[in-house]
Amino acid sequence: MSGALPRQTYEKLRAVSDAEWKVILLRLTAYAIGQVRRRRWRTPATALPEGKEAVDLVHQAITLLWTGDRRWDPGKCPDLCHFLQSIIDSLISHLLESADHRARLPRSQQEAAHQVAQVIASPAASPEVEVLQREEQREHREMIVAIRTAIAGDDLLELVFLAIEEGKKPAEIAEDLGIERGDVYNAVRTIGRRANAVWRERNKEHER
Amino acid sequence: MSDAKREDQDRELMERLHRSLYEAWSESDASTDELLVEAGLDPADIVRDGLEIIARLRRQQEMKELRGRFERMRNDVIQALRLVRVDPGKFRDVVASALAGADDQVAQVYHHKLQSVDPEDLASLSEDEAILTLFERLSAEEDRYGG
Repeated sequence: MSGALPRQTYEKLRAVSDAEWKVILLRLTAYAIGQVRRRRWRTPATALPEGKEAVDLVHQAITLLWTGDRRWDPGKCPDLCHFLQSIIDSLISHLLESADHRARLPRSQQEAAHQVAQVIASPAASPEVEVLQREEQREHREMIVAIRTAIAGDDLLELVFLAIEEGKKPAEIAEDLGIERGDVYNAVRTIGRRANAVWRERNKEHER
Repeated sequence: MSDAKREDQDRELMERLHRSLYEAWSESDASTDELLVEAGLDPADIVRDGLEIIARLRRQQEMKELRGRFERMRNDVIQALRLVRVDPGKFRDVVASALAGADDQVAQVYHHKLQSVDPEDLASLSEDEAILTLFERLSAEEDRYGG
């Protein structure tokens, strides 16, 4: 069983108000959803469910923080939300590797999920790993082509996607295009929705 | 373009897209809520359930803190018991410091209050129950750990 937290950590946590926790909870859940999608889009084999799973990840991260199983040093990482995000990243990596998660996948995907998790956890080159990396690269390429197809014909979405490809951030894109930053955010969110829809369709095909 | 270069570009593009998405979804509370609802979640439920868990974890941690504090206090008091008869003033200093932890101002308050405690009561502090009773009696008005 975990002991008491270090004094500084304990005092910092006690000072976080419910209003601040509310913001952290919502942002952290949104972050977890984004991270799950980020990994899912690499390959259809990592079929992480995103809704309840994201909430569970947030609860786990907060529990690890308060029990001291993950030590928060406010001196080194003053941003609590950022620290919790790093725990979420770690939990997702473990989840991809866990037998429990693999057991929930369709049988045909279990081995692939295991192998992908190994690649993510240990990218050291070996013949097997290289094959898997090529598979991931192929998935990336197909996803990008599918996203381009999904936004084709919408000038703003195409321009924003192109600008992202060129390495520009939303603020720079807004300035270049002479539009509000909020319009760029809307376009980015629309691209995200379409990418997610593309991924769902592709995943259905892989399950067949 | 070589395959390796294109693969790097693809990977980088996907990472840039995710970074832009994160920025777009977290630009305001409303857009964050929108993402959560689209993922089938109710923001109000997330907050309610999260705050319940945090309140429980906070209480557990407070209990651990209190337990640790009591253990330190108990050890300090027991070690200082030999002073009760020979130097009651010094003993009150030790007990006041033990009760107050690192807070000098609180220690002064406890020291003042301990002036009214009977020496016989002080001598009984070798028992946990007596230490707890004294601690509760002296700190009740402060109610600092009432949550």
